[in-house]
Amino acid sequence: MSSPTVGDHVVSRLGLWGAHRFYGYPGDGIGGVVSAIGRAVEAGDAEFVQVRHEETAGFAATADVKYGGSPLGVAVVTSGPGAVHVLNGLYDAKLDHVPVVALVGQTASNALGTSYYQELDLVRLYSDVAGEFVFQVTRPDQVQHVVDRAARTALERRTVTAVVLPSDVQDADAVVEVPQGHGYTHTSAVPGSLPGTPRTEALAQAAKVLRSGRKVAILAGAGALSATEELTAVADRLGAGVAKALLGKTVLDDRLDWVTGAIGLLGTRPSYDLMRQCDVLLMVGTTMPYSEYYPARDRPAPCRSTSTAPAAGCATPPRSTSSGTREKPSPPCCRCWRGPTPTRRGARTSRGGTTPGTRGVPNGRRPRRTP
Amino acid sequence: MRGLSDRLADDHQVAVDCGTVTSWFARDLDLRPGMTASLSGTLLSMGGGLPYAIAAKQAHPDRPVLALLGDGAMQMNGLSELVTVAQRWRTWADPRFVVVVMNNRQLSFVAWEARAMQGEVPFDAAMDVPDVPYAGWAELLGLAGRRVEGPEGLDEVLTAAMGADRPFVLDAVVDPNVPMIPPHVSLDQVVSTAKATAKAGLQGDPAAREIVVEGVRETVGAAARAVRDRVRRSE
Repeated sequence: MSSPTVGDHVVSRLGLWGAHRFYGYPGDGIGGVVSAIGRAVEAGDAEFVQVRHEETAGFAATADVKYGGSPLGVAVVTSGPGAVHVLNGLYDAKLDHVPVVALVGQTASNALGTSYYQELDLVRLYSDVAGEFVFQVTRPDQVQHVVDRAARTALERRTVTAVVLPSDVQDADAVVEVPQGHGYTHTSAVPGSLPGTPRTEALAQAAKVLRSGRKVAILAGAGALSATEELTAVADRLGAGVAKALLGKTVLDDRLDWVTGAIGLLGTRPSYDLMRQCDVLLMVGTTMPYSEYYPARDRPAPCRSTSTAPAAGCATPPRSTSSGTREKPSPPCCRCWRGPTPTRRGARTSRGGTTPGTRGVPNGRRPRRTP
Repeated sequence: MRGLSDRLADDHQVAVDCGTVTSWFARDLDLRPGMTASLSGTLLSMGGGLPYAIAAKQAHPDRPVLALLGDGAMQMNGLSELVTVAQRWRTWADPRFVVVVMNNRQLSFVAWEARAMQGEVPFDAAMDVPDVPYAGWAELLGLAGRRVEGPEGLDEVLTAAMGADRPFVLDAVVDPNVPMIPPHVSLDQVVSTAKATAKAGLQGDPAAREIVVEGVRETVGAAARAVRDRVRRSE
C-alpha cells in the first residue's frame, strides 16, 4: 500500500475526533481529500454523502450534529465556487452554536497569487464564519496540529472552523510522526472536558430567587434537551409553567397542561401570558433574543450560564456549568430573572401546587382546521 | 398539523424549514421527548429543511423522518435534494421519510410582514411562487407522491404517507390567506394590516375578504377559547 497522503492524514485525524461522516461535493480543488475519503469509505471507516449543492452540505453537516449523528460535523467542498456556496450552511452552524469543520479546497500552491482559476482569498473569505480558527495549510507537517486545532476549537467553542488545503498539498506524502524538534508543536486528539460546575454561591443565590417567587415561569430551550427529567422535577417543585423556545420543542410533551408551548412571534398566547404574569423567570438552555416576549424587566438576579451565553441579560460573566462527558451531556444553562412583585392578593403559593396564571394555563391550541 | 401529530412515532425525527410553515410547526405540531426536531433557528435560512431531514436519516436510518417545508423552500433546494433522497433511500434500514410541502403559492411569511410592517399589499411578482407538481416530480424519481387539495381524503393520505414503503412527498395545497396571528399584536401592526387589507380590497384583490374572514375566525376563536377556559377554571 502506498504511503498515506496529506488527504489521508486529514481524514484519519478527524476520525480520531469522532468525525466519520462527510457531506460534500467534489471538485479538482478538493480531489486529494475526496480520494482519501473514498479510501476510508472502502475500509469501512467513513461515510460520504454527496449532495446537490455545497450549501446543502453545510446544512447537513450542521444537522449531523443536531440530530445526534456525529459529535463534529464536516463539510467537504472544492475551491472557488464550492467554498462560497457552503458559507450559508456554515453560518447556520455558527449561529446555532454547532461544531462543524469545513475542509475547503484551494488552487495549487504554485498558482496561488496569479489570479488563477477558482482562486479566491479563502482565509479572508472565511475569517467571519470561521473567525475562531481558519488556516491555509502549506506543508504536510502542519496537518496534525491544524486539524487538531480546528476540531478542538469547533467542539470547545461550539462554532465553525475551516481548514483550507491547496490541491497539491492534499496529494503530498503525509508527515504522520511530527518531529520532536525546534518549532514543532505536538497536539493531541483528545477532546477537552468543559470546565467546572457553577460556584456554590451562585447556585444558592439562584435557589433563593426561585424560592421567593409565587408565580414562577420557566423558559426552556435547546440547551435543556438532555434534561427533560430534571426540568420536569424543577417545574414540579416550583409549581411553574413552562414555555419552550423553538429549538427546544421536544424537551417536554406539547400536550402537558403545564406546558404552554412555543414562545415569541410564532408562539402561543398562553406562553405570552405566562411571561407577562410571572414574578420569577427561570431560563434554561436558551438565548432567545426577542425581548418583547420576556417579562417586563426589573433587576435581573445574578445568574450562571454555560459557554454560549449571549451578551445581554447576564449579571455575572458566563461560566461553563458542564461536568459532563460525551455520554452524559452537560447540564443546561440557567438564569434567574426577578420580575416586579405581584400585587394580586390571595395568590396561592404551594410546593408543587397550581398558581393561577402559571400552572393550568391552557395549552394554546388553535381550533381544529384543515390547512 | 393535527393529522401529523397523531401519526408521529415516539422516535420521530422532524426537520422544519423557515417560513409560515415554522409557525404551524411551532404551535400545532405536538411533539414529545424522545423525538428530535430542529431547524435553522438563528440564521433562519430557507433551505435547511430537506438537508436536515437527509442528515437525520443518515444519522439514524432506522428512525422515521418528517420534513415540513414551504413551497418556497421546496423550490429553493428541496426539488434537487430529492435526487439525493432518491439516490440513497434504499440504503436506509427504514424507508419512512415524508416531505410535506405547504403549497400556498406564495412567500407568505414575507407577504404578512409586508402587510403588518409596511401596510402594503404584497407585490405579486416578488411574492408569488409558481405551482409546481411536487408529487409528480417525486414519482418521476421513483418515490411516492400525492397532491391533496382539501380536507376530503386527507386522513387516508396522511396514513399512507407515514407508513409508505418509500420516501413520500405530500403536496398540500393550502390557503395563503390564513394569517399567523402572533400572540400579541401592537396597535400599529393591527392598523397596518387593516390598511393593507383595505387597500387590497379596494384594488379588487380577492384575497382581502378571505384574510378578514380568516383573521376574524382566528381572533374570535382564540377569544372564545380564553373565555371558556376562564369560566371552566372558576367553576
